[in-house]
Amino acid sequence: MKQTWKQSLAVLVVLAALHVGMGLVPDPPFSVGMNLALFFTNIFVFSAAATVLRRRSARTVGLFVAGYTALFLLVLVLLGKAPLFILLVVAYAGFFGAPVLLGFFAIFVVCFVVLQPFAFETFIPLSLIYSVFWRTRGRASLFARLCLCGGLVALAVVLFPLISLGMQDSLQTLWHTFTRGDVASAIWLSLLTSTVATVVLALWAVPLAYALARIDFPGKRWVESMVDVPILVPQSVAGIALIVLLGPGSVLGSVLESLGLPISGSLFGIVIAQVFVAAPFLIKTAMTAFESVPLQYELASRSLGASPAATFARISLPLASRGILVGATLAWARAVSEFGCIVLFASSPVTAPVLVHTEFLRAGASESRPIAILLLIICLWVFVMLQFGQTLLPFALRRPRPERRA
Amino acid sequence: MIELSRLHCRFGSFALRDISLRIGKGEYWVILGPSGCGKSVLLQTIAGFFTPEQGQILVANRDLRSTPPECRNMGLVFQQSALFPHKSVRGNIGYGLVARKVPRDNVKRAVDDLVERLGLQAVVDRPVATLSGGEAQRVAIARALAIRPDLLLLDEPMSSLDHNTRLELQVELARVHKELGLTTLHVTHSREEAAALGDHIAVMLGGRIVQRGPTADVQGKPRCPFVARFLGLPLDTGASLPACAHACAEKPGECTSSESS
Repeated sequence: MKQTWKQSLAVLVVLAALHVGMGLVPDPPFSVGMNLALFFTNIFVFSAAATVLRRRSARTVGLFVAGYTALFLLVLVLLGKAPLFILLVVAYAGFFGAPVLLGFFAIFVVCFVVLQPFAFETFIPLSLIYSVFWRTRGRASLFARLCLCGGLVALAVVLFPLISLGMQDSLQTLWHTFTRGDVASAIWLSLLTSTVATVVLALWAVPLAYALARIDFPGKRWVESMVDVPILVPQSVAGIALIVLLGPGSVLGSVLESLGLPISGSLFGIVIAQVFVAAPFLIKTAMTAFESVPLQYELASRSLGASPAATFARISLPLASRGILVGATLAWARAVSEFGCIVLFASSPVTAPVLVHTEFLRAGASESRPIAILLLIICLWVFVMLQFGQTLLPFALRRPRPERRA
Repeated sequence: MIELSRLHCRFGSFALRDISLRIGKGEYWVILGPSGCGKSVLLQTIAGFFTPEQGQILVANRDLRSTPPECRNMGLVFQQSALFPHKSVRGNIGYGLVARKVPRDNVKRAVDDLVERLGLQAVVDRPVATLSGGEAQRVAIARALAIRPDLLLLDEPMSSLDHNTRLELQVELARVHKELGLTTLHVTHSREEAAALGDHIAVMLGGRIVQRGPTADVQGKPRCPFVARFLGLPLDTGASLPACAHACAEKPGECTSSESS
C-alpha cells in the first residue's frame, strides 16, 4: 500500500515537472490554461490506468502506452488539436478496460479524425466489420477471422464509390429528379425490360440447366463453356454483333421490320440484349442448384410412379427453387445494369443506365448523379428484396455446416 | 412371381453377369454380398434405372426389360431413406398415390392405414427433417408400400441405423412382410440381417450370384469357401465351384469361377 503511494507520488512529481518544463521553455507549445488542462488530463489518465492495469502483464501496459503515444502523435503533434486530444485521451483511458469498446473507439478515432471527409461512410462499415470480428470469437480460428474481416474491409473499399455516391444528394434532390418525366420513365423501362428478360430467360434456361445437371454427353464441357461466352464478350462487341444480325439494313432486321416488329431501337431489342448478357448467370446458378438435388430423390419419385416430367415438376424444381431464384436475381441484376450492348443496339427508348450516360455527356457528373443514385437505390432495394425473398420459398437443401472449432 | 433370367448389364469395367433368380409370390429374398459386388446395381436394374443388355425381367410373365421405372410398380427403399424434404410425412407416404392420380379421399385412407400399420402416428405431423434414422426409414417403407408394389426392393435399408433401431426395424419388416404377403428383395452385406429376415438367400460376388436357395440350405451347405467365409461358417475346403481358382481368397471381390448357377 505504501509502496503504491510512493510510486504514485513519484509519477505525479515527474508529470508536474514535465508540464512545468513545457511551460518554461521559450515559445511554449501551449498556453498556461491549456497546459494546466493537459496536466490534469494526464493525472486522470494515469489514475485510470493505475486502476485498469493493476496486476496486468508488461505487454498490456506497453499496449496502453502505445495507444496513448499514437493518440498523442496523431492528434497533438500532427493535427495540433489540444482540446480534441484531451477529449479522446480521457475516453481512451476509460475504454481501455473494455476491449470491445476500445476497438470501436479506435475505429471512431480513425474515421472521424483521419478520414474526416468520409467519417460516416467509413465509420458505419468499419464498425460493422469490427463487430463481426468480435462476435465470431471462439467460433473460428483467429486466422479465419482475420481472413474474413480483411476481406470484408477490402470489399468495403471496392464498394466505397457506391457507398459515398449514395451519400451525395439530399432526399429532396432525389425526389425532384424522380418526378422528372424522362427519369421516371427510363427507370420504369429498365425495371420492366429486365423483368421481362428474366422471365423469357427462365423459360428456356431452367430446363437447359436441368438437362446439363443430369445428362452426360460428349462435348458437355464445351457446352458449359459456351454458356459463359456472354460474360467473356465485351458488351460493345455483343452490341455490334446484334446490330449486324438484327439491326436496320440487315436481312433479318428488315424482314422483321416489314412484319411490323422492328428490333433495333425497340423494347424488343432491349430485351434481346438483356437476355443475351444475363443468360450465363441464371444457367450456371440453376445448374448448380439442380446438381445439389440428390439423384436418389428423383429415382425414388420415378419408382413411385411419377413420370420424368412429373418428377421434375414435383421434386427437382421445388428443391432447386432457391438456387434458381438466386440465379434469376443475378440475371435480373445483370439485365438492369446492362449498358454497353443496349446503347449501341437499342439506345431508344432510353433505359436508365443509358440516361445516366447521356445526361453525363450533356450536363456533366453533377446532373447525372441524382439519376445514378436513384437507380442505385432502386436496384439495390429490389436485389435485397429478392435475396431475402428466397428464404420464403418452401425449402432449401440442408447445406453441410462448417464445423465449429475453437 | 418374379423371374430374372440370364441378366447381363455392363457399367464401364464392371458388369452384372448371368443373373438368374426366381422369386415366388410372398417370398423374402435377401441378396448378400460384400460392397462392390453389384448387389445395389442389380436392385436398381430391377427397378428400371439401368437397361440390361441381355436377359429378361419377368413379372407375372410380362417382360419389363424396357418398361420405364414409373410403370414397373416396384417399391424402392434406399439406404438413406431419400424422403422428399419439402413434403410432410403424410405427403411422402401418399406421393406414389398422388402421382397415380388416385382420388384424394382414397389417398388419405391408404396413408392412414399405413401410418397405423407401421406405428407412425407420433411422427405423421412432424417435418421430415426432424425424423430420426429409424423413423425416416419406416416412413420410406410406408411410402414404398403405399403403391401396393408387386415387388418391394430394399437397398441396404438398415445400414445407416444403430444396432437397436436395426433390430426393431427387422422385427417390424418381418411382421409387415407376413401381414401383407409382400414379395421382397432385400440387399444387404450383413449376414445377421439375412439370417433374421430372409427365407431365401442369394450370395453375390463380382457381379454374379455364387449361390442361392432357401436360407437353411445355403447356411447348411455353402458351395464354396467364399460363401462359407461370408456367412461366418467354418471353412469347408472340400466344396468349391467348378473351375474355381480361389481368386476370392487373394483378391477381394473377384471370382473367376466359370459357371455360376
